[in-house]
Amino acid sequence: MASEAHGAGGHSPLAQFEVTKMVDLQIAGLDLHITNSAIWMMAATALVIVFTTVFISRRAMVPGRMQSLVEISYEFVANMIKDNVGHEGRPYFPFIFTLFMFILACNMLGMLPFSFTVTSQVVVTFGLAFVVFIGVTIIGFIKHGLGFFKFFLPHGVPGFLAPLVIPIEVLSYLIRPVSLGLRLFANLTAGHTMLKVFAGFIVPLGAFYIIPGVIPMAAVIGLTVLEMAIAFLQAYVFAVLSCIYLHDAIHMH
Amino acid sequence: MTQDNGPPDLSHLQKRIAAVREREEARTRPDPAKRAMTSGYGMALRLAIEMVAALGVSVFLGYWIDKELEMAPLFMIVFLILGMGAGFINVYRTVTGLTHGSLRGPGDYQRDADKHGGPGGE
Repeated sequence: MASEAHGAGGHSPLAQFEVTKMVDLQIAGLDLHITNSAIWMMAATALVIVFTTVFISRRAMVPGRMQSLVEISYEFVANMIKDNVGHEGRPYFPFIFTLFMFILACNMLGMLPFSFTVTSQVVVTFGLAFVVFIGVTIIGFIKHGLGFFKFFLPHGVPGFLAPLVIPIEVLSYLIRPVSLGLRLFANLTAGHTMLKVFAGFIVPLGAFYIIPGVIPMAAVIGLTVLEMAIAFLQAYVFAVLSCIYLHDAIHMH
Repeated sequence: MTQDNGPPDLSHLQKRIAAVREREEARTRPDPAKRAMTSGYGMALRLAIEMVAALGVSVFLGYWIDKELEMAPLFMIVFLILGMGAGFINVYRTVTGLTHGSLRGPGDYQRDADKHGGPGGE
Protein backbone atom coordinates (compact mmCIF):
# COMPACT_ATOMS: atom_id res chain seq x y z
CA MET A 1 0.00 0.00 0.00
CA ALA A 2 2.76 2.37 0.98
CA SER A 3 4.76 1.56 -2.11
CA GLU A 4 1.71 2.07 -4.30
CA ALA A 5 1.02 5.44 -2.73
CA HIS A 6 4.63 6.31 -3.35
CA GLY A 7 4.35 5.10 -6.93
CA ALA A 8 1.28 7.25 -7.54
CA GLY A 9 2.88 10.26 -5.91
CA GLY A 10 6.25 9.84 -7.58
CA HIS A 11 4.89 10.04 -11.08
CA SER A 12 3.11 13.22 -11.88
CA PRO A 13 0.81 12.95 -14.90
CA LEU A 14 2.97 15.65 -16.45
CA ALA A 15 6.26 13.79 -15.94
CA GLN A 16 5.79 12.16 -19.33
CA PHE A 17 6.32 15.51 -21.07
CA GLU A 18 9.72 16.11 -19.54
CA VAL A 19 12.52 16.57 -22.04
CA THR A 20 15.67 14.85 -20.83
CA LYS A 21 19.19 14.70 -22.15
CA MET A 22 19.92 11.26 -23.55
CA VAL A 23 23.20 11.55 -25.45
CA ASP A 24 25.84 14.16 -24.78
CA LEU A 25 27.23 15.51 -28.00
CA GLN A 26 29.72 18.37 -28.32
CA ILE A 27 30.79 19.38 -31.82
CA ALA A 28 33.16 22.33 -32.22
CA GLY A 29 32.10 23.83 -28.92
CA LEU A 30 28.41 23.60 -29.78
CA ASP A 31 26.13 21.83 -27.33
CA LEU A 32 24.30 19.44 -29.63
CA HIS A 33 23.06 16.99 -27.02
CA ILE A 34 20.32 14.66 -28.13
CA THR A 35 17.16 14.69 -26.05
CA ASN A 36 14.44 12.06 -25.84
CA SER A 37 12.35 14.41 -27.97
CA ALA A 38 14.95 14.39 -30.72
CA ILE A 39 15.26 10.60 -30.53
CA TRP A 40 11.52 10.10 -30.98
CA MET A 41 11.48 12.60 -33.84
CA MET A 42 14.22 10.64 -35.53
CA ALA A 43 12.25 7.46 -34.88
CA ALA A 44 9.19 9.04 -36.51
CA THR A 45 11.25 10.12 -39.50
CA ALA A 46 12.78 6.67 -39.82
CA LEU A 47 9.33 5.09 -39.56
CA VAL A 48 7.96 7.28 -42.35
CA ILE A 49 10.99 6.57 -44.55
CA VAL A 50 10.68 2.84 -44.01
CA PHE A 51 6.94 3.02 -44.53
CA THR A 52 7.16 4.84 -47.83
CA THR A 53 10.22 3.14 -49.31
CA VAL A 54 10.54 -0.42 -48.07
CA PHE A 55 6.87 -1.32 -48.12
CA ILE A 56 6.43 -0.07 -51.65
CA SER A 57 9.68 -1.49 -53.02
CA ARG A 58 7.99 -4.55 -54.57
CA ARG A 59 5.72 -2.36 -56.73
CA ALA A 60 3.23 -5.15 -57.26
CA MET A 61 0.43 -4.58 -59.74
CA VAL A 62 -1.98 -5.96 -57.16
CA PRO A 63 -0.72 -4.43 -53.92
CA GLY A 64 -0.28 -6.41 -50.75
CA ARG A 65 -1.43 -5.17 -47.36
CA MET A 66 1.50 -2.88 -46.65
CA GLN A 67 1.81 -1.51 -50.16
CA SER A 68 -1.92 -0.88 -50.13
CA LEU A 69 -1.56 1.08 -46.91
CA VAL A 70 1.10 3.29 -48.47
CA GLU A 71 -1.03 3.83 -51.56
CA ILE A 72 -4.06 4.67 -49.45
CA SER A 73 -2.13 7.30 -47.52
CA TYR A 74 -0.78 8.72 -50.78
CA GLU A 75 -4.25 8.99 -52.30
CA PHE A 76 -5.65 10.33 -49.06
CA VAL A 77 -3.27 13.28 -49.08
CA ALA A 78 -3.60 13.73 -52.85
CA ASN A 79 -7.38 13.97 -52.53
CA MET A 80 -7.05 16.30 -49.58
CA ILE A 81 -4.97 18.67 -51.70
CA LYS A 82 -7.29 18.31 -54.71
CA ASP A 83 -10.34 19.15 -52.61
CA ASN A 84 -8.85 21.98 -50.59
CA VAL A 85 -6.34 23.64 -52.90
CA GLY A 86 -7.33 22.52 -56.39
CA HIS A 87 -5.05 21.67 -59.28
CA GLU A 88 -2.63 24.47 -58.43
CA GLY A 89 -1.85 22.55 -55.26
CA ARG A 90 -0.14 19.65 -57.04
CA PRO A 91 3.41 21.05 -56.70
CA TYR A 92 2.98 21.24 -52.93
CA PHE A 93 2.02 17.59 -52.54
CA PRO A 94 5.46 16.47 -51.26
CA PHE A 95 5.42 19.06 -48.50
CA ILE A 96 1.88 18.34 -47.31
CA PHE A 97 2.47 14.60 -47.50
CA THR A 98 5.68 14.89 -45.47
CA LEU A 99 3.97 17.11 -42.93
CA PHE A 100 1.02 14.76 -42.56
CA MET A 101 3.10 11.60 -42.32
CA PHE A 102 5.54 13.13 -39.83
CA ILE A 103 2.84 14.39 -37.48
CA LEU A 104 0.93 11.15 -37.80
CA ALA A 105 4.06 9.13 -37.02
CA CYS A 106 4.90 11.33 -34.02
CA ASN A 107 1.36 11.08 -32.67
CA MET A 108 1.16 7.33 -33.16
CA LEU A 109 4.61 6.68 -31.66
CA GLY A 110 3.44 8.72 -28.69
CA MET A 111 0.74 6.11 -28.11
CA LEU A 112 3.34 3.42 -27.38
CA PRO A 113 3.92 2.77 -23.68
CA PHE A 114 7.07 4.45 -22.29
CA SER A 115 7.40 6.57 -25.39
CA PHE A 116 7.58 10.32 -25.67
CA THR A 117 4.99 12.33 -27.56
CA VAL A 118 6.97 14.82 -29.61
CA THR A 119 3.88 16.77 -30.65
CA SER A 120 3.08 17.54 -27.02
CA GLN A 121 5.93 20.06 -27.11
CA VAL A 122 4.93 23.61 -27.99
CA VAL A 123 8.30 24.15 -29.64
CA VAL A 124 7.71 21.35 -32.11
CA THR A 125 4.13 22.23 -33.03
CA PHE A 126 4.87 25.95 -33.29
CA GLY A 127 7.93 25.13 -35.36
CA LEU A 128 5.80 23.16 -37.80
CA ALA A 129 3.07 25.81 -37.80
CA PHE A 130 5.49 28.63 -38.48
CA VAL A 131 7.14 26.69 -41.30
CA VAL A 132 3.70 26.46 -42.91
CA PHE A 133 2.92 30.11 -42.15
CA ILE A 134 6.17 31.51 -43.53
CA GLY A 135 6.08 29.23 -46.55
CA VAL A 136 2.49 30.11 -47.38
CA THR A 137 3.16 33.84 -47.01
CA ILE A 138 6.17 33.60 -49.32
CA ILE A 139 4.10 31.65 -51.86
CA GLY A 140 1.41 34.32 -51.67
CA PHE A 141 3.89 37.08 -52.38
CA ILE A 142 5.50 35.13 -55.22
CA LYS A 143 2.13 34.45 -56.86
CA HIS A 144 0.60 37.90 -56.43
CA GLY A 145 3.50 40.25 -55.73
CA LEU A 146 2.44 43.24 -53.69
CA GLY A 147 -1.15 42.48 -54.65
CA PHE A 148 -1.10 39.97 -51.82
CA PHE A 149 -1.68 42.89 -49.46
CA LYS A 150 -5.22 43.13 -50.89
CA PHE A 151 -5.78 39.91 -48.99
CA PHE A 152 -6.16 42.01 -45.86
CA LEU A 153 -9.06 44.06 -47.20
CA PRO A 154 -11.98 41.79 -48.12
CA HIS A 155 -14.19 42.77 -51.06
CA GLY A 156 -17.19 44.88 -50.28
CA VAL A 157 -15.78 46.63 -47.27
CA PRO A 158 -16.48 50.37 -47.47
CA GLY A 159 -13.40 52.56 -47.55
CA PHE A 160 -13.98 54.34 -44.28
CA LEU A 161 -13.94 51.00 -42.45
CA ALA A 162 -10.51 50.08 -43.84
CA PRO A 163 -8.55 51.50 -40.88
CA LEU A 164 -10.51 49.19 -38.60
CA VAL A 165 -10.75 46.14 -40.85
CA ILE A 166 -7.14 46.00 -42.00
CA PRO A 167 -5.57 45.71 -38.51
CA ILE A 168 -8.12 43.07 -37.58
CA GLU A 169 -7.47 41.12 -40.78
CA VAL A 170 -3.70 41.36 -40.31
CA LEU A 171 -4.06 40.17 -36.73
CA SER A 172 -6.32 37.33 -37.73
CA TYR A 173 -3.70 36.33 -40.32
CA LEU A 174 -0.93 36.42 -37.70
CA ILE A 175 -3.01 34.36 -35.31
CA ARG A 176 -3.39 31.46 -37.72
CA PRO A 177 -0.01 29.81 -37.09
CA VAL A 178 -0.46 30.15 -33.34
CA SER A 179 -3.87 28.55 -33.32
CA LEU A 180 -2.58 25.89 -35.73
CA GLY A 181 0.29 24.96 -33.43
CA LEU A 182 -1.71 25.38 -30.25
CA ARG A 183 -4.46 23.06 -31.47
CA LEU A 184 -2.10 20.17 -32.09
CA PHE A 185 -0.24 20.77 -28.83
CA ALA A 186 -3.38 21.16 -26.69
CA ASN A 187 -5.10 18.08 -28.06
CA LEU A 188 -2.10 15.82 -27.60
CA THR A 189 -1.11 17.15 -24.19
CA ALA A 190 -4.65 17.11 -22.81
CA GLY A 191 -5.28 13.60 -24.08
CA HIS A 192 -2.07 12.12 -22.73
CA THR A 193 -2.45 13.86 -19.37
CA MET A 194 -6.00 12.55 -19.05
CA LEU A 195 -4.79 9.07 -19.91
CA LYS A 196 -2.13 9.24 -17.22
CA VAL A 197 -4.51 10.63 -14.59
CA PHE A 198 -6.99 7.82 -15.15
CA ALA A 199 -4.20 5.26 -15.21
CA GLY A 200 -3.01 6.64 -11.86
CA PHE A 201 -6.35 5.65 -10.30
CA ILE A 202 -6.11 1.99 -11.24
CA VAL A 203 -3.58 0.75 -8.70
CA PRO A 204 -4.68 2.81 -5.65
CA LEU A 205 -8.34 1.87 -6.18
CA GLY A 206 -7.58 -1.72 -7.07
CA ALA A 207 -5.43 -2.10 -3.94
CA PHE A 208 -8.38 -1.49 -1.62
CA TYR A 209 -10.84 -3.70 -3.40
CA ILE A 210 -10.44 -5.20 -6.81
CA ILE A 211 -13.73 -3.97 -8.29
CA PRO A 212 -13.25 -0.16 -8.16
CA GLY A 213 -9.95 -0.55 -9.96
CA VAL A 214 -11.77 -2.04 -12.93
CA ILE A 215 -13.64 1.20 -13.61
CA PRO A 216 -10.61 3.42 -14.34
CA MET A 217 -9.07 0.49 -16.22
CA ALA A 218 -12.08 0.42 -18.54
CA ALA A 219 -11.87 4.21 -18.86
CA VAL A 220 -8.20 3.97 -19.82
CA ILE A 221 -8.94 1.36 -22.46
CA GLY A 222 -11.66 3.57 -23.90
CA LEU A 223 -9.44 6.63 -23.75
CA THR A 224 -6.62 4.81 -25.53
CA VAL A 225 -8.91 4.15 -28.47
CA LEU A 226 -10.05 7.78 -28.38
CA GLU A 227 -6.45 8.96 -28.27
CA MET A 228 -5.62 6.85 -31.34
CA ALA A 229 -8.47 8.58 -33.15
CA ILE A 230 -7.28 12.00 -31.97
CA ALA A 231 -3.72 11.20 -33.02
CA PHE A 232 -4.93 10.61 -36.56
CA LEU A 233 -7.49 13.41 -36.54
CA GLN A 234 -5.04 16.06 -35.40
CA ALA A 235 -2.51 15.11 -38.06
CA TYR A 236 -5.34 15.32 -40.58
CA VAL A 237 -6.60 18.67 -39.28
CA PHE A 238 -3.10 20.13 -39.35
CA ALA A 239 -2.63 19.02 -42.96
CA VAL A 240 -6.09 20.22 -44.02
CA LEU A 241 -5.60 23.63 -42.47
CA SER A 242 -2.20 23.90 -44.16
CA CYS A 243 -3.98 23.13 -47.42
CA ILE A 244 -6.61 25.79 -46.73
CA TYR A 245 -3.98 28.41 -45.97
CA LEU A 246 -2.20 27.40 -49.15
CA HIS A 247 -5.45 27.80 -51.04
CA ASP A 248 -5.92 31.28 -49.61
CA ALA A 249 -2.40 32.25 -50.63
CA ILE A 250 -2.79 30.92 -54.17
CA HIS A 251 -6.34 32.06 -54.94
CA MET A 252 -6.81 34.97 -52.56
CA HIS A 253 -10.47 34.54 -51.55
CA MET B 1 -13.42 -17.07 -74.39
CA THR B 2 -11.34 -16.30 -71.37
CA GLN B 3 -9.37 -13.88 -73.52
CA ASP B 4 -12.59 -12.13 -74.45
CA ASN B 5 -13.88 -12.17 -70.94
CA GLY B 6 -10.86 -10.41 -69.50
CA PRO B 7 -11.24 -6.85 -70.79
CA PRO B 8 -15.03 -6.44 -70.30
CA ASP B 9 -14.68 -7.73 -66.75
CA LEU B 10 -11.98 -5.18 -66.05
CA SER B 11 -13.95 -2.33 -67.58
CA HIS B 12 -16.91 -3.37 -65.49
CA LEU B 13 -14.68 -3.25 -62.45
CA GLN B 14 -13.39 0.12 -63.58
CA LYS B 15 -16.95 1.41 -63.80
CA ARG B 16 -17.72 0.16 -60.33
CA ILE B 17 -14.56 1.73 -58.95
CA ALA B 18 -15.44 5.01 -60.63
CA ALA B 19 -18.97 4.88 -59.24
CA VAL B 20 -17.73 4.15 -55.72
CA ARG B 21 -15.13 6.87 -56.01
CA GLU B 22 -17.73 9.36 -57.17
CA ARG B 23 -20.02 8.51 -54.29
CA GLU B 24 -17.13 8.76 -51.87
CA GLU B 25 -16.16 12.14 -53.28
CA ALA B 26 -19.70 13.43 -53.08
CA ARG B 27 -19.78 12.30 -49.48
CA THR B 28 -16.47 13.90 -48.52
CA ARG B 29 -16.48 16.97 -50.74
CA PRO B 30 -18.70 19.38 -48.76
CA ASP B 31 -16.38 20.13 -45.88
CA PRO B 32 -13.63 17.72 -44.93
CA ALA B 33 -12.36 19.68 -41.95
CA LYS B 34 -15.84 20.06 -40.54
CA ARG B 35 -16.54 16.37 -41.01
CA ALA B 36 -13.41 15.60 -39.03
CA MET B 37 -14.68 17.86 -36.31
CA THR B 38 -18.17 16.49 -36.08
CA SER B 39 -17.91 15.76 -32.38
CA GLY B 40 -19.12 18.66 -30.27
CA TYR B 41 -16.14 18.31 -27.97
CA GLY B 42 -13.70 18.72 -30.84
CA MET B 43 -15.56 21.73 -32.20
CA ALA B 44 -15.72 23.37 -28.78
CA LEU B 45 -12.01 22.82 -28.17
CA ARG B 46 -11.21 24.16 -31.61
CA LEU B 47 -13.21 27.34 -31.15
CA ALA B 48 -11.81 27.88 -27.67
CA ILE B 49 -8.27 27.54 -28.97
CA GLU B 50 -9.06 29.95 -31.80
CA MET B 51 -10.26 32.55 -29.31
CA VAL B 52 -7.42 32.02 -26.83
CA ALA B 53 -4.80 32.18 -29.57
CA ALA B 54 -6.28 35.42 -30.90
CA LEU B 55 -6.24 37.12 -27.51
CA GLY B 56 -2.84 35.71 -26.58
CA VAL B 57 -1.15 36.83 -29.78
CA SER B 58 -2.67 40.30 -29.79
CA VAL B 59 -1.99 41.01 -26.12
CA PHE B 60 1.58 39.78 -26.50
CA LEU B 61 2.02 41.96 -29.59
CA GLY B 62 0.57 44.98 -27.82
CA TYR B 63 2.74 44.38 -24.77
CA TRP B 64 5.83 44.10 -26.93
CA ILE B 65 5.06 47.34 -28.81
CA ASP B 66 4.43 49.04 -25.48
CA LYS B 67 7.80 47.92 -24.22
CA GLU B 68 9.56 49.11 -27.36
CA LEU B 69 7.85 52.51 -27.45
CA GLU B 70 7.48 52.88 -23.68
CA MET B 71 3.84 53.86 -23.96
CA ALA B 72 2.73 51.68 -21.07
CA PRO B 73 -0.80 50.34 -21.48
CA LEU B 74 -1.94 52.07 -24.67
CA PHE B 75 -1.09 49.49 -27.34
CA MET B 76 -1.94 46.55 -25.13
CA ILE B 77 -5.48 47.85 -24.75
CA VAL B 78 -5.78 48.71 -28.45
CA PHE B 79 -4.51 45.28 -29.45
CA LEU B 80 -6.71 43.57 -26.90
CA ILE B 81 -9.79 45.10 -28.53
CA LEU B 82 -8.51 44.34 -32.04
CA GLY B 83 -7.65 40.83 -30.90
CA MET B 84 -11.20 40.24 -29.72
CA GLY B 85 -12.41 41.29 -33.15
CA ALA B 86 -9.88 39.05 -34.89
CA GLY B 87 -10.75 36.16 -32.58
CA PHE B 88 -14.44 36.49 -33.33
CA ILE B 89 -13.73 36.67 -37.06
CA ASN B 90 -11.61 33.52 -36.85
CA VAL B 91 -14.25 31.70 -34.83
CA TYR B 92 -16.91 32.84 -37.29
CA ARG B 93 -14.84 31.61 -40.24
CA THR B 94 -14.16 28.31 -38.54
CA VAL B 95 -17.87 27.76 -38.07
CA THR B 96 -18.97 28.90 -41.53
CA GLY B 97 -16.89 29.39 -44.64
CA LEU B 98 -13.31 28.52 -43.90
CA THR B 99 -13.79 24.79 -44.32
CA HIS B 100 -14.55 25.30 -47.99
CA GLY B 101 -11.04 26.53 -48.45
CA SER B 102 -12.21 30.08 -48.88
CA LEU B 103 -12.26 32.98 -46.53
CA ARG B 104 -15.49 34.07 -48.14
CA GLY B 105 -17.95 31.43 -47.21
CA PRO B 106 -21.72 31.23 -47.50
CA GLY B 107 -22.19 33.54 -44.56
CA ASP B 108 -20.29 36.39 -46.11
CA TYR B 109 -23.24 38.47 -47.17
CA GLN B 110 -24.39 38.33 -43.59
CA ARG B 111 -20.90 39.39 -42.53
CA ASP B 112 -20.86 42.27 -44.98
CA ALA B 113 -24.25 43.30 -43.70
CA ASP B 114 -22.88 43.16 -40.17
CA LYS B 115 -19.96 45.33 -41.19
CA HIS B 116 -22.24 47.82 -42.90
CA GLY B 117 -24.34 47.88 -39.78
CA GLY B 118 -21.24 48.31 -37.63
CA PRO B 119 -20.66 52.09 -37.90
CA GLY B 120 -24.26 52.75 -36.96
CA GLY B 121 -23.62 51.19 -33.60
CA GLU B 122 -20.36 53.02 -33.03
